[in-house]
Amino acid sequence: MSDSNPQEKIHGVVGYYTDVDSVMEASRRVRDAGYKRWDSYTPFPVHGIDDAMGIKPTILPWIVLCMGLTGLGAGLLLQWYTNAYDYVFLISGKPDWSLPANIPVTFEMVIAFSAFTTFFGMLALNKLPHLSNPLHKLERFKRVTNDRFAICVEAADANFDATRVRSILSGANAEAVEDCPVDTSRAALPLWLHGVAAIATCLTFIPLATAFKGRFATSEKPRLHVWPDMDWQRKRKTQTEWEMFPDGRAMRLPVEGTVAQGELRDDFEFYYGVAQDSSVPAGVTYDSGTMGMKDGQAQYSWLANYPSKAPATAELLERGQQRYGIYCAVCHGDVGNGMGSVALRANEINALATGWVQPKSLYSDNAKAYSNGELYHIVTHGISTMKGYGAQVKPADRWAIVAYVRALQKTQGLKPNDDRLDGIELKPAPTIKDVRVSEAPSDAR
Amino acid sequence: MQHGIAQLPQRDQVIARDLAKPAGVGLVVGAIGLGLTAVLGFAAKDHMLHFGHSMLVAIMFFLSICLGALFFTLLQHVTSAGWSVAVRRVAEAMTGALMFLFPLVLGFIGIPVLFEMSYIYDWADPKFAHGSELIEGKLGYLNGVFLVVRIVLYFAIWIGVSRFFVGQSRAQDDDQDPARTIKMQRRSGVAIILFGLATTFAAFDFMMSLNAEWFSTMYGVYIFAGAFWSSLATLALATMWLEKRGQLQGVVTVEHYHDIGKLMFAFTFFWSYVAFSQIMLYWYADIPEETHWFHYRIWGAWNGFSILLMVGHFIIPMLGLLSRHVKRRRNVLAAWCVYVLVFHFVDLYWNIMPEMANGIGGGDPAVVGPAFSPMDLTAMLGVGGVFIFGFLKSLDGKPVLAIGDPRLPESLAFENV
Repeated sequence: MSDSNPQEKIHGVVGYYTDVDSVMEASRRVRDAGYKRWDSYTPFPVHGIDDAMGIKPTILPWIVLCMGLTGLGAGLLLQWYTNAYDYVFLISGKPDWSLPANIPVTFEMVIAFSAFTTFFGMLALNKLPHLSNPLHKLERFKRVTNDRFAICVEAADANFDATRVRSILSGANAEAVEDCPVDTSRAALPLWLHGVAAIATCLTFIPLATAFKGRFATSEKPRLHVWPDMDWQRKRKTQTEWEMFPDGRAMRLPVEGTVAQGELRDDFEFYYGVAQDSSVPAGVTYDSGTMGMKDGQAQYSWLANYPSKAPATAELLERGQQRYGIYCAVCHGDVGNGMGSVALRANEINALATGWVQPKSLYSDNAKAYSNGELYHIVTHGISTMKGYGAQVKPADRWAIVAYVRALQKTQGLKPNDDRLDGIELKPAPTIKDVRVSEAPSDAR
Repeated sequence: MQHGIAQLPQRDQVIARDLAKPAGVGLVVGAIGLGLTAVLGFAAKDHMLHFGHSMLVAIMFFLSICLGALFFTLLQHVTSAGWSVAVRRVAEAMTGALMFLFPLVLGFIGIPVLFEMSYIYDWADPKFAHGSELIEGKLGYLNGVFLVVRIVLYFAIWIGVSRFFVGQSRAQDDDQDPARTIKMQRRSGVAIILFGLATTFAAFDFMMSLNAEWFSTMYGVYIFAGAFWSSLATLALATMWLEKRGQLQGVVTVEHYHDIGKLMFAFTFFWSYVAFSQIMLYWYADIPEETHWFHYRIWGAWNGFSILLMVGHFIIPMLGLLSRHVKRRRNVLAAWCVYVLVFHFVDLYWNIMPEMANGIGGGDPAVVGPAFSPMDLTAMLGVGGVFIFGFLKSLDGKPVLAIGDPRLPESLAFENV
């Protein structure tokens, strides 16, 4: 460190004024002298001083505008993602992504983004918080929070010339002008502030630690009810009782003549497997490969092909293979020969002897004779001892299963003289009695 | 403060002079406008339906401006505002037009219902109300006698409040007594509550009951929001006009216009906030007896008009009035004030006109759609002339500036940071 140049030792030159007009005049003079690193200090906001100091209008409004628009986008994106993309849930029959419902949240997001940007942007643009300033070491400067005005031109300014600055500052009716020495004391945070910061940091870990413990530890205690009025709401859940209504149900039946959202089944081909002008099949009887005969007359005109809503495509077949594997193969077998794992196990414990009915092969002439509509009806409502799958499998998937069964019938269960074999010799198909299932002990489950 | 006002204006410097001529012009235009509207109404041969609804739009337009100005006056006292003293007298003068709108409201809205004339309100016709359980249940409130009583009561409150505050302020011009300011401040709280009640129920009676089956508890706030919005625009335009005539020069500065502009921007949002809050609750609950009012406005032939209202009453002025540079340039602000008045008209038209086809009109508003007529404009001219006459009459020969107000120096030196 060299002491040869006395200018290096001062932080800046400070002028003091007793009234607003003088500090305004001094600000104008300093501004016109072309200094950049200087500031005025006043005990209250002074109108017009930003102009006298040559301060450009702040860009903060533009930053706030940008962040406000970001908030707008973020609000919409949040609601689109949660409501319409990640966790679609029907609420009051409104569209999944419904703009009117999103406006309040979007509005609040705009406000939140703008408010935080204004506050923190103001701090950042003013380079705050500023923990120390050499001016605070000056005894005279303390009156600036009370009844004095001050201007400090810093030595760091490129044009700084202490003598010239002194003459400019004192020229505008200054009460006093003095040099501000460089503050060599270490500008450290006070000790108590460290303590507060440490405690605050520790406290922020409590919620995290609680959440962590809640996720990974077990407890004998009942769960904590932070919001009891949300945990025990005075509402009735679906499928429960309620004495308020004469029929004792909490749920209301649809009003007569109305159809619930998504329950309109006006496409008979798709939903019932019959022609559009047919009546809805219910409680049909089975009569040698044709369903729904009454007095020797067919009651329903079953669909022979596929409905227009579920055309026979490669996608439908693929979907059918998958659904068949889930719902059907366990009894009918992966290839449809009636030798699924249930059938094999039943054979193993000799269930046939106790009256158990064996799952049918899907290649039987009977099964092949059914129309598509009849097959669909069987998948939906079941046949003989087979239960219906209408409750579990959606209509489009039932049509996919029908398509896959048709594909199995075309490719599997060949007979020795089948012309599809194209001359290849075929071994006799195994029957259920030929199949050895298990080496496991007979008491295995 | 430091800039110092050289001296406060003297009483004889701020007396409004030579307003008798423009006031007379207003009266003549008003008479011609009303006469033309009546002739067109008879010529339309629609049982005066369009005449009644056009008149209602025009009356509500200028009544809402007067009420907004009354609220502006009360607001300055209740918040003990300093900045606004320079322009407050102009707003006070606008409330003077209430006296002249009273006979119009009584004559066109109140009295006809006494004689079961249903050219505006369907429920005035007993044959119409009969059979509708919703309307029959309301007839204890919606009947001619009670309506006339209420109209008299509303105007008693509005004119009474206006006369008290204008009177005190004018008396202060002479005696410079600061105690009057404190007295006005004390009474302004009660006055603003009375104002709120009267304005809310007037909105229910004059406009919401057009469709007597429909109801919205927010409707009064909605009408109030538009009223204050448009009265701010009128206040700025009237002040600029007075400045052009040599009044208030050097008193009203760009700072005051900036503040009026800020309030206008704020109430652009407030109107939208209230309008959206009203529609969102109905949209969410989706109950037919509540949604039908919106249904034939939004899903039918009025659809374009509804979009125009949303874009023109909210999005465009929100973006337009956002910048401080707009609010600090007189000519630009004046253009926006005219815009605001146009869209206040659009707002009232959207509220009132679809009901013309409804009910007694015998049509479906969603199918009929907007049916413009020259009556819409002549009625505006007619009632507007009466409004201008009342406004200038209450200003003529009296100080246009509250020179006795102790906060006048603060207002004159006022600057936006």
